[in-house]
Amino acid sequence: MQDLLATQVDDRKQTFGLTETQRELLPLAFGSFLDSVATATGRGTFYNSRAEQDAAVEAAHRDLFDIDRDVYTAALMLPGVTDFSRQIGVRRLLQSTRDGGILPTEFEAAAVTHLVRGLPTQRMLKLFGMLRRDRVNNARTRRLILSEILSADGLEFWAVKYREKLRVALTHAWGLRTASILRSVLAKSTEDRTEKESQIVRQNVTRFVRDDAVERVEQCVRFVLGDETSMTLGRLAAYCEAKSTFDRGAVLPPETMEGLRSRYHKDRTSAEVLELTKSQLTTGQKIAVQRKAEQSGVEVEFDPGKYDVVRLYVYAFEMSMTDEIRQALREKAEAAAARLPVQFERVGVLIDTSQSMVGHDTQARRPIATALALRDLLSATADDAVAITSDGRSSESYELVEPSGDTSLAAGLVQLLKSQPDVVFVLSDGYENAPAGRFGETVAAVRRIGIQTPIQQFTPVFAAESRGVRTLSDSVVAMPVSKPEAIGIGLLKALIESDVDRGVAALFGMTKVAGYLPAA
Amino acid sequence: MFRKRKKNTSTRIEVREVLRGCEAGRLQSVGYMQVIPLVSDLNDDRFVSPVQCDADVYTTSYGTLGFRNSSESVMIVPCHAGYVVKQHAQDHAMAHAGVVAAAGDRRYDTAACIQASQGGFIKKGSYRMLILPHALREHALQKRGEKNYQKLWDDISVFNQRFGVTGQGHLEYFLKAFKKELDEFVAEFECVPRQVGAIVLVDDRVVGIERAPSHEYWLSIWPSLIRECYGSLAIEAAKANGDRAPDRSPRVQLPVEIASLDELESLIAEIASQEDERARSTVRELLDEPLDLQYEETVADVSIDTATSEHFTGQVIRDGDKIVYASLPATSAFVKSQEWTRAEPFAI
Repeated sequence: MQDLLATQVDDRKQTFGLTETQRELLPLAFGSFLDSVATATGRGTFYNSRAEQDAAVEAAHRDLFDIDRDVYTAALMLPGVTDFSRQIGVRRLLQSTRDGGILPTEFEAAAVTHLVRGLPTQRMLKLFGMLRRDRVNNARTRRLILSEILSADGLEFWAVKYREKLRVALTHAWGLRTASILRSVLAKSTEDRTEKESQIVRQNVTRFVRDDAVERVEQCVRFVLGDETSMTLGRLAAYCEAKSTFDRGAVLPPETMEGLRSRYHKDRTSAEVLELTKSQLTTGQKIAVQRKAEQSGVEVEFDPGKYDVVRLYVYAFEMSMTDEIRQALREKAEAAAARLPVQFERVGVLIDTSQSMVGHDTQARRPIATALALRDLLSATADDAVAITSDGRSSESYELVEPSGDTSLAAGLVQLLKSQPDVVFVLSDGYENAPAGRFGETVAAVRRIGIQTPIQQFTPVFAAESRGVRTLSDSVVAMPVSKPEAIGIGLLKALIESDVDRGVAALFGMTKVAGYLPAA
Repeated sequence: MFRKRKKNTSTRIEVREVLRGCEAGRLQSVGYMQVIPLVSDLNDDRFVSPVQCDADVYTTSYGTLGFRNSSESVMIVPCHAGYVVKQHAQDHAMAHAGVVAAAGDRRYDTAACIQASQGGFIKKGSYRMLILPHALREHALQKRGEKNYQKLWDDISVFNQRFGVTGQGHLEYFLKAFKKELDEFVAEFECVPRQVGAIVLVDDRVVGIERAPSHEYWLSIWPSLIRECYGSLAIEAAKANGDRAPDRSPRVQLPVEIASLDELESLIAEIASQEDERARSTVRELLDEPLDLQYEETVADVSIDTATSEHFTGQVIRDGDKIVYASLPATSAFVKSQEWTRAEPFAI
C-alpha cells in the first residue's frame, strides 16, 4: 500500500534540515496530528463531548506546530484535512510570529492564502470570527481578511447572505473608528470626498479591489456597514425593497428572505419563501432542504452527481436510497478507485455496524456513511470484493446498512480471510466490546497460523481520550479517514511512522510545495 | 395525583418479577466491567426520564431538589439522580427515586448536598444528570427519609479517601480526578436494539440490576449509570489490583495452538456460545432471589417501593403489579465479600 505514496516521492533522501530531536518527536506528534486533522470536525462524537474533542485537537496541533511550523503548515494542506482543522491551523499560524522553519518565509504566506481560499465562504468567515474572538489582529491578519473579502467576485451575494459576519470581520480588520469613518465617507460621491477621505478609502478598500470593481465593492461595503440608502446593485436593492414587497426577495438567499419574512411579512409562510427563492439555493442547500421541501410541498431538484459520497449516504439514510443516488455513488466510487494507483484481485471489507457508528447527534450517521463510502471505493479497486458487516451480514456496494448493537469483529475477520483476499480492510471506530480484545487476539492467532494477509483499519472517528484514532489491535495500524478521497492521509501516517525523512518528503510532495524546497 | 397510603407496607417478590419479559443479550466485556444487556419487546412509553423530557432542575434550599416536567408523560426520576453544575451552587442528588406527574413540578426536601463547602442554589435549567457512585447509593437509600442536606458528606469523604482524592464531602473532586476513566466507560459499552435494562458485573460478579420502562428511557439513563454509578466500582476494582491498567484481552482467551482458520472460527463461535450461556445462567441464578418491597408512596398511579434482598438494595416503581422501573445495586456487604480478583469462570 505504501507504493501509493512512493510514486509521489523523490527517491533522493532529503532531510530538510530536520534535527535529531525533531526526527525523534515527529512520528508520534505527526500520527496524532493526522488522526486529528483527518477526522476532527469540532463537534461531539458518540463517545466524546465537543469540549473533549476541542482539547484533544488543540493538543495535537500544538505538539506538531512546536516541532516545526513548516511541516505543520504543509500537513494542513493535505487533501482530506477537514475544514475545521484548517480553520484552527490558520488561526495558529496567524497568531504566532514566524521564527524558524525549514522552508522560506514566502511558503507560509502562500500556504495561508491557499488554505483560506479553500474554505467554503461560511467557514472562512467563521475563521475571521475566531481571529476576532482571539484578538489576532496583526498586519498579516488584517491584510488577509481585507483582501479575501474585498476582492471576492461574490461579494454582493455574500453581503446579503452573511452581512453580520462580514461586518464583524471588516470591523475587526479596520478597527471601529476606521469602519465608522469609512461608512461616512463612502456615503459621499467620489467627487465630494476630500483628498484625505479619498486616501482613507484607497488605503482601506480600493487597494484590495480590481479597478473595474471599485464602485460595486464600495456599495457592498456601505451595505455591510449598515447604510442602505440608494442601493443600485441588484441583490442589495432587492433586499431593501423586499421589506415592503415580498416578491422582490426572489433573488435573495432563502435564509436571508426567511429573516425578512419573519420580521416584515409575518402573514407569509416559510414554504412560500422556499418556493420564491428556490432558484437561489446553493448546491449544498439543495440537498439539505429536501425534507423541508417535501413537507412544504415544494419541489427542489438536486443533482446527486454534485455531492460527495459521504454526504449522499447521509442524505440517503435520512430520505431513503434511490436508484439515482445509487448510480451517483457507483460512478464516484469507480472514478476514485481509478485514480488510486493500487488495484487488487480480491478485497475483503469488514464494516463495523455497531451502534456507535451512528456518531453524535450533531453529525448523525457520518461515521457509518464514511465507512460505507470507503466500502464502495475499496471494493471498486478490486476485481472481486467481499464485504460483510460486524454482525455477519453480507454488504452489497451502494446499499445502506443501519448501525445497531454491540461490536464484535473477530468472527467477521476470519470469515473474510477464508475467502483468501489480497488484503482485508476493517472500517471501524476502534471500540470493540463483545468482547474487547478479541479482534487483536484473532489477528495474533491468524499470524501464528501463518497467514500474512495485510489487515488495514480505517477509522472515521477521532477519539479524544486516545488523542488519535483507536486501534483494534497492536499489530494493525489504524489510519484516519474522513472521506474516501482522503485515503492517502492514512497511508502517509504509516509512512512517517516507519521513515520520518521519507514521510516528510511525501508530505511535501503531496501538498505540492516543491517550489519552496531547497535544491537537492 | 399524589396519594399517600399504606406507608411501610411490605411485600415479597422475586427478582424474576423485575426481569419479567426480558431476555439476556450478548455479554459485552471491556477490562474489569461486563454488561449483560436485558432486551425486551415490552416498551412502556408512558414514562420519560428527566433527560428525555429535558426537565428543568433546580434547588430552592439546601437539601431541596426540584424537577419541572413539562412533558405530557409521567417522569420517573432515576434512583439517586444527581446534578453537578458549573454554577456557584451546591450540587445535589436524590436519596431515592422520584415520580413527577405529566406537566408537573415536584420538590424533594430529602435530597442531599454533594458539594460540602459551596453555597448557592441551582438555577432552573436542564443539566447533565449523573447517578451517584455505587458505593454511595446504599448510604443514600438508608437515609432517604432524612431531611438533612449534609447527610452524605461523611460518606463522600470516606469514598474520596478510598480513591486517594482529597476533598471532604465534595463528590465533584472524585469526578474530576477520574474524568478520563469515567468517560471511557461510556465509550466502551453500546446499547443494543430493544435493550431496556442491564445486569452489570465487575470481574464477573453481579454488582447491579437495572430495568427501565422503555428502550428510549434506557438510552437516556445508561450513560449516567455506566459512568458514575458502575464506572466508579470498576475504578475501585482497578485500584484493588494495584492500579494496573485493565487488561484489554478477552476474559476467555483463545488457545495458543490453533492449526487453521476453520478451527479458529469454531473456537470463536464456541467461546461466544459459552459467553451467551454464561449470561443466561447469570440471569437464571438471580431469578429466585427474594426481594422485600417496602411501600413508599404512590404518585400518578404508580407506586415506589424500596427493595432489599440478600444481595441487593434499591428501589422499584410499579404500575399495579407490573414493575416499570427498577434500580438494584448490590449491597456493599455483598460487594465487599467478593475479592476483586480476575476470575476465570470457565475455560475451553
